[in-house]
Amino acid sequence: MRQPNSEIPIHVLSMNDLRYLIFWLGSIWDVFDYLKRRASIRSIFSGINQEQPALAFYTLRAKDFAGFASEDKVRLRELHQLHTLENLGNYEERERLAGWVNAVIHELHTRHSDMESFMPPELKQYHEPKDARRGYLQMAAMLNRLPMSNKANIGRQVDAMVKNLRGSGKCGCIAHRRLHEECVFVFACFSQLSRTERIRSLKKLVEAALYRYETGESLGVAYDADDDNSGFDLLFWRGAPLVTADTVRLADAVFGPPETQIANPFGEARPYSPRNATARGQL
Amino acid sequence: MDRGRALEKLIGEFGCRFFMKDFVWWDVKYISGGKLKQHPADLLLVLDGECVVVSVKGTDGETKAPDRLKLWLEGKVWDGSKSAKTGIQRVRKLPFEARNFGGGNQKLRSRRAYTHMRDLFGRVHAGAVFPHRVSNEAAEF
Repeated sequence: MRQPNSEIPIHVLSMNDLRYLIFWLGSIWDVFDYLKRRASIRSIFSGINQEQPALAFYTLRAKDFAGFASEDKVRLRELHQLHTLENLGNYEERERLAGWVNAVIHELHTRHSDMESFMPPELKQYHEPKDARRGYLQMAAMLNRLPMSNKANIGRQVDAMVKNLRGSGKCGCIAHRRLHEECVFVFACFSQLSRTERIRSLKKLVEAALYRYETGESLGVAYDADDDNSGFDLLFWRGAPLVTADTVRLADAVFGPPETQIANPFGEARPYSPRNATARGQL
Repeated sequence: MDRGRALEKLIGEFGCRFFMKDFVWWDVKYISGGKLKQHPADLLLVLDGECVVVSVKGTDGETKAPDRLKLWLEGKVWDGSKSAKTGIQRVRKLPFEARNFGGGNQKLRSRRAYTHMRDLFGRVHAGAVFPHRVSNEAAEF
C-alpha cells in the first residue's frame, strides 16, 4: 500500500473492519492495544478488509503479532469463524458481566440529585460542587481503561457477590490491581446498609486496600446488593492512608495476601506467575 | 456511501456502544490565526493521554470495475493517509476544540483539557483512515 511517510503509524481499515474490531475486542483499551501492536505489521497488509486473520492471531494466539507474517491467513480466518460461532454465548455473557463496570461508567455522568443528604459529614470536604465536578471524568476514564478481560472478570465476581449477598445483611469485597499499575480498584457489595454507612464502609475498605497493596491510589465502587436501581457510590482516594490497627485487621480479613492472576477474554481467571514481576499485583 | 454518511454511521456506532462514547470526540476544530478552522480530523479517540486520529473517506456511489476500483482505492488510501498525517500534525501542535456525547455535549479543549487527557499532546499515538467499501471481501491494491 502506498502511503506518505509518517513517524506516527497510519492504519488503513475499512469501516467494516473497524466495526468488527470494536465488536469483538469489546473495550476502548483493547482497541488501543490492538492498534499499537498492529503498527509492527502494517506493511504486511496489502489492502483493506483483511483484518480477520490479524484479529484471530491477536485473540487466539499471542495478543501480539510476532510470528503473524508466516501464518496461514486463510486458516486463521477459518479459526476465527469457528471460534466466534462456538463462543457466541460466551461473548454475550462477557458483555453482560462487563456491564457491572460499564454501567458505573455510564451512570457517572449523572449525580444523585440530593447527594448531600446521605454523604457522611466527615467526607463532605472531599465532595465536588455539582457545577464544578471533574473527578467523575477521571473515574470514568480509570474504569474504562480496563481491558475487556478485566472488566468481565470483575463483573463475574461482582455478579456472584450480589447474588450471594442479596437480603443477607452482609457485605463482600474484592480488590483488583493491574500489574505495574498504581491504582487498586475496590468493588464492594452491601446488603441492608444505609447509603451513608455504605460510603463510610467503602472508605475503610479503600484504606485497607491501599495498605495491603502498598500503593497511593485507589478507586472504590459500592453496589447495593438488594436494589439494582439504587445507584452506585464511588470514592477516589489519592495519597497514603492513615493506617491504624483496624486498617491492618480489615486488610487481613478482607483481602488476604495479593495473588497474581491472568484472565481469558471472557473474564475467567487462573493463577499466573510472571517471570519479571513481583507477586503483589493482580491481573 | 459518501463521506458524510460514513462518518455519521461511525459516530452512531460509537454512540450506541456507551462504554466507548465518552472517548470519541467529533466536530474537531483547530485554532489558527485566532480563528476556529474546521476538521483537522474527523474523529479523535482519546484514552488516558493517548489519541487516535481518525480520517474517514467515502465512496462516490458509482460501481467500479475491479481494475478501476483498485486504482480508486490506491488514491483514497493515499489521500486518507495524508489527511490523517495532517490531522496528527495539527492536533499535536495547534490548540483545538472537539465535542462528544458524554455529559451533555461537553467540549475537549487542548492544553486546558481534563486531568485524564492532560498528557495528550506529547503522546498522540496513531493515525487511522477508513475508506468504506460496500463488500466485505478482502481488497488488495
